Amino acid sequence: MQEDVFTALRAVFGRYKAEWLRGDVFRLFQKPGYFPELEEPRPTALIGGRGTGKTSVLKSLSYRGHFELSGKSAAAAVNAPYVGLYWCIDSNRVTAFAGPELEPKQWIRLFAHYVNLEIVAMFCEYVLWFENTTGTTVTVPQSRLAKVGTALHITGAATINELASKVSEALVTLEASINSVADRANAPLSMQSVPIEYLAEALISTDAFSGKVFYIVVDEFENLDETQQSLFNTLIKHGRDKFAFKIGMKDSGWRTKATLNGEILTHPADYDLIDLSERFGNGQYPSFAREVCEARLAHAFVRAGLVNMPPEIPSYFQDLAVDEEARLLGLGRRIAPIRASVMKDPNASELLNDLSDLDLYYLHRRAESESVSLTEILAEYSLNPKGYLSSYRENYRQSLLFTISEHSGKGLQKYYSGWNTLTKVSGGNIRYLVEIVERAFELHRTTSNDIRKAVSARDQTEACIAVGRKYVQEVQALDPQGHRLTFLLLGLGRLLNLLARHSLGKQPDTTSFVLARPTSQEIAQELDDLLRIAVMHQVLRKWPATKLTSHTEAKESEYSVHPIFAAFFVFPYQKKRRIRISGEDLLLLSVDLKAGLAAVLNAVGQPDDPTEALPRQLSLFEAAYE
Amino acid sequence: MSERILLPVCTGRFTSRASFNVRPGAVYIYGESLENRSHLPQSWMETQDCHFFRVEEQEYERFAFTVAGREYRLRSRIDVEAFIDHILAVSPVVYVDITGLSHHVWAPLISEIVLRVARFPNAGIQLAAVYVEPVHYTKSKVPRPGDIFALSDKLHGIRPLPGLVRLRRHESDKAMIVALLGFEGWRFDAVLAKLEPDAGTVVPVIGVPGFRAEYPFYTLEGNIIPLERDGNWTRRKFATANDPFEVYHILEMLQTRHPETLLRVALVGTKPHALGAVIFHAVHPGMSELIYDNPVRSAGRTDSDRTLLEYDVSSFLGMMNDPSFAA
Repeated sequence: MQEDVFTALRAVFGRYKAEWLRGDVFRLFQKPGYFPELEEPRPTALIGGRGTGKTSVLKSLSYRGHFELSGKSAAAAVNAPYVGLYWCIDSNRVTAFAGPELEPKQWIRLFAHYVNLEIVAMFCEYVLWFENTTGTTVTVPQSRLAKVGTALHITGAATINELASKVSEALVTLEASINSVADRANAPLSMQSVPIEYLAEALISTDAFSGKVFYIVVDEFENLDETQQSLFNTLIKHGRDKFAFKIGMKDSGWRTKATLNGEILTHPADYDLIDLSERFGNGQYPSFAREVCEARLAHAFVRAGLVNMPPEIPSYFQDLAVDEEARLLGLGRRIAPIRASVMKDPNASELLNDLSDLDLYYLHRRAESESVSLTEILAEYSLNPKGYLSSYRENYRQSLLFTISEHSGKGLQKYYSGWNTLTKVSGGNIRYLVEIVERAFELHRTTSNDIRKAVSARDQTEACIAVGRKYVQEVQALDPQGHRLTFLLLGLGRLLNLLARHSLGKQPDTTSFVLARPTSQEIAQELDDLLRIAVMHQVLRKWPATKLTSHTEAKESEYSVHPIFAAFFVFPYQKKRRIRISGEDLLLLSVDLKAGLAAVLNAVGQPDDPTEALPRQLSLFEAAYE
Repeated sequence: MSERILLPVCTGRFTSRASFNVRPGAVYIYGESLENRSHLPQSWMETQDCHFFRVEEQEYERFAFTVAGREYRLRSRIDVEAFIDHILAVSPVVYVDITGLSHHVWAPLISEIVLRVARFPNAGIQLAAVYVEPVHYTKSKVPRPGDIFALSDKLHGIRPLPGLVRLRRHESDKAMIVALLGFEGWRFDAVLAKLEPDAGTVVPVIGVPGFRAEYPFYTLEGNIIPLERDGNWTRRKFATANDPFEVYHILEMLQTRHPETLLRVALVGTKPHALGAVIFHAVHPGMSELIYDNPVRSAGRTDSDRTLLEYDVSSFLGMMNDPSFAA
């Protein structure tokens, strides 16, 4: 039975997390451009924020993903050149390997044993799956399995099935050891990576796996503490040709590049790096994003039996012309008295014929900011009409839109519409984009209920606001320091909103900042920690600073609030110009929103405007600002 | 449709601590936190013919606690067993007042005593937990969605309770998050953000009825975002906010309906609910896992005390093993 098209759209766009799609994750999976690099038999780090598609990609690298992508072909399982074993690091397990009872070196020995057991268990699971799926019997020489058993201090494992069972028992034993770790009556521990090497060798010696390479795919690497990451770094540094690590983590999630003996992992000597913010920043994202969304769109149309619908997603999300947006923002209402007043002046009134409402509004605001009369500005304009407006028309028409709506906080203060805009608002995060699309179609269902009509600019904007709001509300939950991140975001969002609203005569399109570092080392460390988690959880984006405006600025980085929050707070989504903020003010913002916001506004010469109501969507957080 | 579970009464309700009496000769383990309700009035203690064991120095980082000057490490079988042996030698009737004890202290202790009750059914061990409800929760100065009351300053983050870590592999890859909800929706949200469960595998448990009539509304308001997500709301269960045994039964029911599924129980709500989960985990360690986010409690988070509840854990466990009850 065919579905209603909006129900189908909701089904394919509404579940945007790879973890949530189960069967569909592979059916709707689009290989990103960097996928072949991941398939190379080298250690690789895949770095990207929540929602950038890391987990989908890493799961697709796994043998189960490969199988699904091949259409569940047993032959593909037999012929696959590599075998990916997927392991998502679970905080509720790995955080048990720390505490005052043992020295860090003792903890790492226990942890290394745990890693060995987990990875050997994954190997066993794979072999059993392979036998079951392909109907092949894998005969691993008993002598080689015995070697694995000896390395793990287990006996009696003559087959893979028995090894799997013994490893499960060993994990129960290790669990008991950790639960009574202070008694120091630990079971014998295995040497780091030795059992894995033995088992990989044993499998490669069989006909079934001869010539294959094993990838140990470790997702959520940031859940490991520094010492635990050092263990994996050691395994990567001294990796063998039988297996390679593929690690996925959030930005700033790689706490250390040091190995356990103090060597440093270097790129590209030791590993390949796929940094999604860099890749997507270099232009790979728009085409990838479009492919992902169009695949889902096509899938929804098939489900709804609409085979003749245009498959190009931009056609459903059309842009607004600047003058039309100005009109929708209420420029007509604002400009009417201005136009009427100019009409009274016969010398100036003639000029009005050539001026659009937005151009006249610009001249009016310019007169205000220069504290001269509009008549004087019009006189200057009349001397060289094209030249007078050229700079504004080229650079500031978009930024002027932020200043049009009334200060009441009601209604929209800016529109965010058009496929390119939505892509940019999602800021390289495919999950955000898919969610915006889903919400926009849902709103369109309510307002129009006709898939043949394009989604209105209002519905697109409301979708951007809704997704931004959702992630503002979620920030607190993302980290133990989430309450500080929430204040930081509320403060910076409001700052950028006020700068956008009062940009005339000042530097418009201010969306990023550089930091003057605190002189106190302790405070500088606190700042670094805050920035690290803010980048990790995509509250902020970090860029190499392009040019410095002062020698006291942090020499390496420029920050901007993630554009997914642009529509919610109402500020420009593109990174253009920057301001300078002191590290101390930023820290203050994260603990005392009101005082911090006042300090930052003061520092950038932007007085708080008591007449400027919060955008209506910010009313949820009104108490935090008061 | 969520069903309500009718249970035998194993809970005693007392309008105040003054009207509650510990059985003569029993052991009474307690601790004091920043909350007034955890403080045992001297006048009341003087009227009780029992052996008080006051737990001190129960800070999170120490993984240990101190009683009468002796330190007991929580991740030591030797120490935990020594403590339990010591108190059982004084009396087989044990009260654990969880009001002022941190989760990382009371959970391993209760768990160990539950194991003793199960292992030595003829030893006459009787375990009761005590909990005193607050009159008020302090409102947050900066109320935000999911953060209406000033209950926790921050989280240490997800880390297993001492002695209750699970490393063993589950036979299937099926897992379910059972979230015992409180007012702090951001904690529920944080668990979901960290564990990223599959769609359709989250079961929220809401405290209905609440300690007070209006509390369930705060719970819903505080948790609205994670409840709305992925239809989590549609799988909600209700359990009286101060009843651990209803939570136990919900977990048991889920286990029966989903026998291959690992129940990962997130303790982000009331202490009585957490108690129910800890008892369940002690009885069914292979089928469950406890998830705790280790919040740092705010000073002055509650105001004075109200009802005292006495949970007769050993009688409850006895009934669970009674075939006539099961029938």
